[in-house]
Amino acid sequence: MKTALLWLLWLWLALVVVLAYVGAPPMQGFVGGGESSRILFFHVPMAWTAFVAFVSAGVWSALYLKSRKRRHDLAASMAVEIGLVFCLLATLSGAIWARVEWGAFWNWDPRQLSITVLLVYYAAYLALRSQVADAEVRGRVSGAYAVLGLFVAPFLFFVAPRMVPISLHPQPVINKEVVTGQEPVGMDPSILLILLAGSLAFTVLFFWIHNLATRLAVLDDRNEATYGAG
Amino acid sequence: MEDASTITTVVKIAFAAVNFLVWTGLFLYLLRLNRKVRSLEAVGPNEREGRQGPQ
Repeated sequence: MKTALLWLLWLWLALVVVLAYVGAPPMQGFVGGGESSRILFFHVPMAWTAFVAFVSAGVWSALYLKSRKRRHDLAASMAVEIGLVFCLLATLSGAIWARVEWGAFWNWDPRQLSITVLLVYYAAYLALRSQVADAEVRGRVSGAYAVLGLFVAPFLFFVAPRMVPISLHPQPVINKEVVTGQEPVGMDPSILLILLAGSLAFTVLFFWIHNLATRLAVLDDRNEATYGAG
Repeated sequence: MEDASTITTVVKIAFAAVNFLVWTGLFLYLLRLNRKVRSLEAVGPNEREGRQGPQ
């Protein structure tokens, strides 16, 4: 990526950080006079980026199963690894917010459960890869698993949490009609703008990190092919 | 009330500053890694490892 574009990304995310704390108004209905809602600007983009990462892992895997190019397999595994980091950060930030807002880190909320299942699903992908020595077989088996993830990830992100009508999660912010019995939380247009800007910046950041990680993995793979492991 | 509001503002600025530093640190690390990867890709595997390739 061109260095000027990367500096633009730095400026973009730096602005989001500053605006998230001092630019956005506190959201009504949250603890601390609405100040606790500021986690939204980091928690939601991280969860979104994890979803993008898992979907891109599925797409890279489908490409690998079609073309059998090692680079595609490595790109898929890197997407899962980075996606897991974002997913873990989203889970942890959500748990910290839950402690502040709901009084406990873990509340058996449908979204907490679904994201944990997702973490386990993709951690199993890495475990599966680590257990297969042959690169060709590893690529095929883990590729099929990640392609299955193209159905599992959207289901766990968007469908499963909405199947349970009672949730503590502030879904009304985005999806007012789904949850009944909760007061809708008003979202100021400026909050929505910062949230979308943050989500876009995190997505670009993911693709940059993914690009670097894949290139490094390809270099490492070539070294191993030339000189053997270790 | 004004004191509480001042403290909240100071805390928010402190949080923003810490987040800004974390992001800038991560960005500079990634930028450095970007240059390193580019230089590794530019040279062949033998030069990279400082070894003789297979004959």
